[in-house]
Amino acid sequence: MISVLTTDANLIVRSWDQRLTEMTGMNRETACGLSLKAIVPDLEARGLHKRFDRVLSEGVVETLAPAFHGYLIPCPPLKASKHFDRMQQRVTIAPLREKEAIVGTIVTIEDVTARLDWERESTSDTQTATSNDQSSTAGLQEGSWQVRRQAVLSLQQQNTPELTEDLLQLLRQEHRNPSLLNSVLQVLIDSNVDPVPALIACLHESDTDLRIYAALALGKRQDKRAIPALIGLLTDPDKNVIYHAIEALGELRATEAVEGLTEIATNSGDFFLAFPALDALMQICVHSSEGSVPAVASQLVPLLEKSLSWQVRREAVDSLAMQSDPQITVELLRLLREQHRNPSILNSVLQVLSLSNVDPIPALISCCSDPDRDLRIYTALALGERQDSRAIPALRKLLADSDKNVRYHAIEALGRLRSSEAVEDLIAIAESGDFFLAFPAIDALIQIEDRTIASRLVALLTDDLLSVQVAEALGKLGDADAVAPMAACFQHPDAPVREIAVAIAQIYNRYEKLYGEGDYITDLVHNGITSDLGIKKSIEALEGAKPEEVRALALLLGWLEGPEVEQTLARLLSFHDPEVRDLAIAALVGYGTRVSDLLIDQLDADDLETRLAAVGALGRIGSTRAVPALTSLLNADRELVMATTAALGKIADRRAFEALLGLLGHEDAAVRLGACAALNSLGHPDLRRRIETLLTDSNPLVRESAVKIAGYFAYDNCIDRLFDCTTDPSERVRRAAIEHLPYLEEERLDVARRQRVFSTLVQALENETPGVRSAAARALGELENPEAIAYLINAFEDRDSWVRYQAARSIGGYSSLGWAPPTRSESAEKRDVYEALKQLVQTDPANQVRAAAAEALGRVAGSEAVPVLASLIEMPEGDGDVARAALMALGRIESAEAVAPLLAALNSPNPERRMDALQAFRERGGEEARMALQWMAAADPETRIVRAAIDSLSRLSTPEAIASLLELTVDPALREACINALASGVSIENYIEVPQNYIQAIAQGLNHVHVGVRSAVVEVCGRLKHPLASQQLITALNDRDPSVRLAAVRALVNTGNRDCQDRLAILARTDSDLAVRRAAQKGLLNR
Amino acid sequence: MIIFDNNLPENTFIILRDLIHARTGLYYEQNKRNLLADKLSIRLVERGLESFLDYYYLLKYDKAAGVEWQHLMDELAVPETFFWREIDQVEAMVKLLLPALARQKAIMLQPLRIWSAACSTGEEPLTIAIALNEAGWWHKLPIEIYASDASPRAIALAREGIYRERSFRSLPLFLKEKYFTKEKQGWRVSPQIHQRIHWSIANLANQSEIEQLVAANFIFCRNVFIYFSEKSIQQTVSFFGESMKTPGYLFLSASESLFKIKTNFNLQSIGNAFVYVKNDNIQ
Repeated sequence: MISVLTTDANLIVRSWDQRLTEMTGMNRETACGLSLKAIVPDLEARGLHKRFDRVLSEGVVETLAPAFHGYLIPCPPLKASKHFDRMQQRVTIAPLREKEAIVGTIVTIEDVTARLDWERESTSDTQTATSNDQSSTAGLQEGSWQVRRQAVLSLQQQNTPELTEDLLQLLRQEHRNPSLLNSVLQVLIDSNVDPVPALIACLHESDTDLRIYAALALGKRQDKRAIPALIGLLTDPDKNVIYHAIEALGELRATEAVEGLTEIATNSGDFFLAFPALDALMQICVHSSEGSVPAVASQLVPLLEKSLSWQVRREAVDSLAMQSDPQITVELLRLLREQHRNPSILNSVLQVLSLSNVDPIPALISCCSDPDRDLRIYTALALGERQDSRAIPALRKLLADSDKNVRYHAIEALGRLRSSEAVEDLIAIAESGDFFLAFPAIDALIQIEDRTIASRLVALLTDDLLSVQVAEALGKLGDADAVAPMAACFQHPDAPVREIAVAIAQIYNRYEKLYGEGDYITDLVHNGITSDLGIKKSIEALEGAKPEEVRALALLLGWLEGPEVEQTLARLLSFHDPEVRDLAIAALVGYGTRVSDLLIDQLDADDLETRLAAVGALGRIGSTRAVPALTSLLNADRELVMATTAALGKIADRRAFEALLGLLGHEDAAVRLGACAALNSLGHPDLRRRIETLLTDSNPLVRESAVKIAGYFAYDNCIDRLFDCTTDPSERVRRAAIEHLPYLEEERLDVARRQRVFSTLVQALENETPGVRSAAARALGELENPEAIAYLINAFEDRDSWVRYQAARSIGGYSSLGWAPPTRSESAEKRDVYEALKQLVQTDPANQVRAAAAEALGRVAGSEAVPVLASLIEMPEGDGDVARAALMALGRIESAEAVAPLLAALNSPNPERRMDALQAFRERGGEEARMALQWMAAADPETRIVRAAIDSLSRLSTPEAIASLLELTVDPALREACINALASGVSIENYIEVPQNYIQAIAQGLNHVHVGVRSAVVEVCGRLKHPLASQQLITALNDRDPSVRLAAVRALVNTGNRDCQDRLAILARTDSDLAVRRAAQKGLLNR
Repeated sequence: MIIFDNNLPENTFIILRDLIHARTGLYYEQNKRNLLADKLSIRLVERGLESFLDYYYLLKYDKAAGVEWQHLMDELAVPETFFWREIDQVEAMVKLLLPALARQKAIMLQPLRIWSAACSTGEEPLTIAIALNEAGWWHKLPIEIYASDASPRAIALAREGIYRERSFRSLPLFLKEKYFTKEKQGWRVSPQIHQRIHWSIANLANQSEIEQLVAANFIFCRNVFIYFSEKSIQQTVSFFGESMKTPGYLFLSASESLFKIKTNFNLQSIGNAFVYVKNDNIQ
C-alpha cells in the first residue's frame, strides 16, 4: 500500500492521508501545517532536504531507495520485524504544479519492511542449513513444504559421498511418497556430489518405479556416462520405464541413441512411445545441426513417407520444422517431386516447408522451372504461404507459365505476398478477358491494397462476368474518381446495381469518416444517375436485396430525386431495419414540403414505427399541410400522441391550439408535458387568457399544467392566481406553483410581491408536506437571495431526507453566484454554513444528502474542504455515491491541495473509484490531470477506463495532452482511438480562436522517433482538412520512412491541396519507394 | 414549466445505466445515451427534478422508489406487438408438443402451465389462448396461462382487453370476428378467452417477482432479450432452466438467440419453429 502526502514549496505539510496516520500515529489535523523538518527531524542531517530542493527547483522526480536511505519518516514497522526497528520505506518525491508553477511536492511512501524481512530471512536460512547437515535428510521427510525446501537447499550445497548413498536409500524406501520423492530427486539433480554411478545401479533394480525415477534423475544430470545404460532400458519390459528412458536420452542429446529411437518412432506402432521418441530425436537433431555430430534429420524424413499414421506424420512435421539442417530441404524436395500426388505426404512436406527454420526459398524457386506442372503449382502455393518477398520475381515469371493452373496459383501467391511489384501484371491479367484468371487477379489486387489501381479497374465494370468483383474491389480500394463511372453503370442494363451501390456507400462512408466530405460523393452520384433507367434500376434492386445492399440503396436513393424515388423512400419508412428507416427519413426531410402528402399517407400505416417515423419527418419538415392529419392522431396511442405533440410544436401552426389545450388534463404525464411544450412553441395570442382560466379548472391535472405554462411565461395576468395555487387543495398543484415562483421575473413584481414570493417559499419550506417542502428548498436556491441561506441551513434539520438534499444543493448553488468561500477569519454566518455542511456530510443518515453536502462543501469552502472530502473517497456507502460526490467536489477545487487525494483515488483497487477520479481530473484540467490521464490510458487494466482517459485527454487538448495522445498511438491497441480523439471536433473546439496552435501542437509529433507516431500525425492532419494541417502534410513528404510519405501523399491528394504540386512531381520521379512514386503520379494525374 | 438540464453527463449516465441494468436487466450501450436521456426526461419533469443525478438518487434512495420504478418501466417499455405474431412457435406447442405431452398421462396430474413472460399489452397470451381454443385443448387438458410484464401501464391495458386495429395485422379475419367485439374504443376480446389469463406485473430481472410464475412447462419470452445485456440474459435463462417444470420448453423470438449463453437448454427444430428444450426432458 502506498501513502501520499503533499507539501507546499516551504515543505509545510498540506495533505496527510489516513494510512500515514496509521503508520505514524500522527493524525491529519496535527500533521497538516507542520514543517516536514519537524516530522523528519534528521531531514537535513541525512541530506534529504537537498532532494526536496531539487524537486522544487528543477521539477524532477526523486526516489529514495530503502536499501540506502531506509526511510523518510521515522516510525516503527506496522508488524513486528525481526530485522528492522523502523519501517523501511520506498519514497518518491514529485513536483506539485499549479498551472506552470511548482507549488510544492507530492510524496508517496511505500512500506517495504515485509519484503526486506523476507529477503534477509532467505539469506540467513541458507547459511543456517549449510551448517546443519545431519538434520537435513530428515528434513526431506517433513510434512511442511517450507521445511523440505530448506532441507533441499541445504543438501544441494553439500559435497559428501555418503549423502548420495543416504539419498538413494531413502529413494528405495520412500519413492512412493510423492513429496519426499520430489525433494530427493531435486537434491540428486542439483547436488555437488557424484550420484551417477549409484543412479545407474538403480536402473537395474527390480522395482519398476525406482528404475523410472533413476532414469528421470539421470536425464536431468547431463552426464553422458548414463547413455549406454539408458539405451539398454529401451528394451525394458515395462513401457513406462522405456518412456522415461527415451525422455532422458533426448535430454542428454544422445546421438548414440538415434538408431534405437528411430526404430521406436517408425516401427514400434506404439504412439505412446513413438511421440516421445520423435521428441527425443528432435532434441538430438537440434544439437546435431550445430555440427558436433552427424546429421540425423534425413533419417526422420522417411517418416513422412512411410508412416501411415497421420499423428506420427504430424509429429515428424513438428520435429523437422524445428531443424535448420539444409539436408532436410534436399530430402523434402526430393519427396515433393516424387510424392506430390499423394495428398498426405504433400501436405506434410508443405507444412514442414512452411514451418521450418531452414531456408527453403532457393530450393523452392528452383522448383518453379521443374517440368512437372503439378510441382510448379505446389511450389507456387508453398511460396505464397512463406511470406518471403524473394519469391516474388519467380512467381511473376510463373504468370507467363504455359499452364493456366500454374498461373492461377502464382496469382494467388502474389496476392498473399501483397506484392506491389506485381500490380501491373495482375491488372493486365484482369484486363485480359480470361475470367478464370481475371477473378483471382482482382482478388489479389484487393489483398495488395494498392489504391492507385482503382482507375484501371473502373474500366472493367462493364465486363458482365467481372463487374461484381470489380465493384467489391472498388468499394475497398476506390476513391471519388471511381464513383462517377460506377454511377454511370446504373444506365447499363446488366450492371450489378446492388454491388455497385454497396461499393459507393463504402467510399461515401470512408470520405465522411476521414475527411467529413461525404457530400462530394453525394454530388457525384446525384449528377451521375440522372436517367429514368438508372433510377428505375436502383428501385428495382431493392427487391430481394440483402440488408447491407438495402442500406446502400436507401443511401443512394436519398441522393436522387423524382416522384418514384420519393415514393420508394416513403415505403422504406416501414422497413424493419432502423438504419434504413433513418436514411429514408433523412432523405425525405431533405426534400421538404413537397413530400408532405406521401408522409401523410404513412400516418395510416399498420405499424407504429412507420407512423412515428412519418410524424417525426413531418415535424422536421414543418409541414403545415399535415396539421389536420396530425391533430387527428392526438387521441391515438400514447407514443404516437407524444411524437405528434412534438411535431406540432415544431410546425407551430395555430390550428393545433385547441386540440393541444385538450391534452393538458391527459392522465399521462408525458402527454401533458408534450402538450405544454407544443403550446409554448405555438405562441398563440389567446394562450395567456386561456391559461388564466385554466388555473381554476376543476381538474387538478389541468391546473398543474396551467401553472407550468403560466410560470414558464410569467404571464402578469396569472401572477395572483399562481400565488393562489400555492394553497391549492391538490399537492401536485401546490408543488408546481412553488417550483415556478422563482421564475416570475423580478421586474414584473413590485417589492411587496417579491417579498411575497420569498415568504411563501419560506412558509412552504417550514409547514408544507415533504414533497412541497422539498420543492421549496430547491426554489429558494433559485432565488439568488442570500437571506434564504439561514432558512436552508435550518432545513438541514428537516426530518425528510429530500428536503435536506435540496437544501444542501441550493446552498452549493449560492457559491456559484459569487458568494465567496469562507475562511477562518470570515463572518460567523459563512462559518456556520461551512460547519453545517461539514456536519451534514459526516453524519447525515441518508447517502444522497451526504453526497449533495459533499458537493456543496467543495463549492462553498474550496481548499478548506479538502481534508473532509479526502476522508470520504474510499467510503463504500451507497455503492460509493458519497465517495463519487466527494471526488467530483475535489476535482472542482482549484487549489493544489486537492491533487493528492485525487491521485490516491486513481490508485484505488476499486475501478469505479478510479473512473470517478478520472472524471474529476477531467473536469479539473491542468498538468496533473494530463499526467494522470496519460497514465490511466496507458496502464489501466479496464478498457472502459482507458477509453474514458483518452476521451478526457482529447477534451483537455492542451499541447501536453496532445503530446500524450500522440505518444499513446505507439500502442496499436490505442492508436485508432487516439487518432479519432485528435481528429474529432471535441479537441479543436478549444482552439477556435487560434487553430494553428492546435495544429502546431500535433505537428510536434512529426519529430517523434517512432514511425507510428509520425504516421498518426499525418492521419490526423489529413482528417483536419485545414490549410495549416496541409502544410504539415507537405513537411511529412520529407519523412525518412516511406509509409509516412505515402500516407502524406494520399492525404494531400484527398484534401485537394495544390501547394504540393512540385513536391509531388519530384516524389513521382525520384522517391525510393514504388508505392510512394505511384501515389504521387496518380495525385498529379488527378489535378 | 421548469427547464431542467437535459444533458446527461457521462458519469451520471454510467451510474444510472448500471442501476437500471441491475434492477431490470435492460442495458443501454454508450451510443444509446441520448435515447435513455429522452426516456428519463419525462420522469424528471414529472417529478420536478433538476438533474439526472437527482433522479438517480431518487430511484436508489427514495422510500417510495418502487412506484417510480414502475413509472420508469412504463417509459422504457417497448409496447409494439400484435396478435398471431411469430405464430409458428405457438402452433408447434399446440399441434406437436401438447399432443406428445398428453400421451404421457403421468405428467397430466397437474395443470400444464404456460407463461408469457413479457406480454406487453397482452396480445401474445391471448394469441396462445385463442390457438388452444381453436385446437380444443381447453376441454382436453387442465391448462393455465400466466402473463406478466414489468410495465404497469401495459398490464393495465392488457387487463382492459380492448385492442386497436393495428394489433390485428396478422390475425386471420375469421378469428377476429370470432373472438372480438367492436366497441367505441376498439375491439374487445371475448371474456371467455380473456378470463383464461392470470395477469400480473413482474420484472424479469427480479427473481422474487417471477419465482411463482417460472414454474411453467412453456415459457414464451419473446422480443425482450434484445434489450438485455448478455449477463442479464444469462441470469434470466439460468433461472428459467433451474426453476421451470420438466418437461420444459422455452420460446424466444426468431431474432434472438442463446448462442453465446451457457444454458440448460437444447435448441431443437419442432415443426416450423425453433424451441429451446430443457435438457432434463431429454432422457
